[in-house]
Amino acid sequence: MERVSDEILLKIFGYLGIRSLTNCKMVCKRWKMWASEVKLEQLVIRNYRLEDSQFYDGKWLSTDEPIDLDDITNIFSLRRFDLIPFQLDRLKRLIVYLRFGNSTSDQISIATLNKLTRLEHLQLMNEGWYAE
Amino acid sequence: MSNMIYLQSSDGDIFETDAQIAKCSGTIRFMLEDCYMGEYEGVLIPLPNVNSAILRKVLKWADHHKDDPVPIEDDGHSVKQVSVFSSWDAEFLEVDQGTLFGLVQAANYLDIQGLLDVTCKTVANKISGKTADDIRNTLTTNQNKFQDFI
Repeated sequence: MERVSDEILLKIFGYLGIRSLTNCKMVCKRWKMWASEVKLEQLVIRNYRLEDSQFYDGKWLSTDEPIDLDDITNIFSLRRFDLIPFQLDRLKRLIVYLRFGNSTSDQISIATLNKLTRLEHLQLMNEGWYAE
Repeated sequence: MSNMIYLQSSDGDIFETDAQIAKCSGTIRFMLEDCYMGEYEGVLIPLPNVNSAILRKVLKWADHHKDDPVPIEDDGHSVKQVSVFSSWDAEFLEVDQGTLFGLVQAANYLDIQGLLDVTCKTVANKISGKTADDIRNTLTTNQNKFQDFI
């Protein structure tokens, strides 16, 4: 039997969250290429590292049917939002968990926001302050 | 009465099936309606890309889902949450990797969107949350090497 086509590989990757996709990129060259082509529709990010898993059974996961709990990533801090190595022009939902601190230079540039032409839902969550 | 047609697998086996059930396949629907102009009682359709074991599974899936509502096309962009992943589907897809990827390929060739969705989701679930090493290990079995199928 032949391997699945690039189109199907891309379809499979479309069901994965950003953290799984990041791992997929390290599997092999072919996967690296196609995992980078996935057009994310939903992204949940936060600008602080999550130490425990309390958020994983939180209420906000039920907003629509998340296929993959790891849509939530703590790999990318918000100040690096512009550098997220995935295609964001199909993004429909963006949920940002913000924690403030002295070093807060976290920002999303207007240029990046302007690229999110399909965005329907933007949620900014105030998660308090960093423990310095 | 129902219209029975015949499907021939790559191994040469012939499966009798209700045309209504077979029409969940876009490929077969096109043949019946465009090539046979709707006069297809008793026709034989060869499917050289699908073997008997896989075709039997596909027909079982199609029979179970024959009363599902037809998915609506959304201005060309496929909506990925169309198919409902029922417990029946989950049990149906508890198969070895050769069979799972055989179903992916068959669903693609036969153009059965619902089956393609659930099989691809099942593959995604095997990958989800794993490191690159774990993914390679998961996709390697005694029967197949990593990347035989994907």
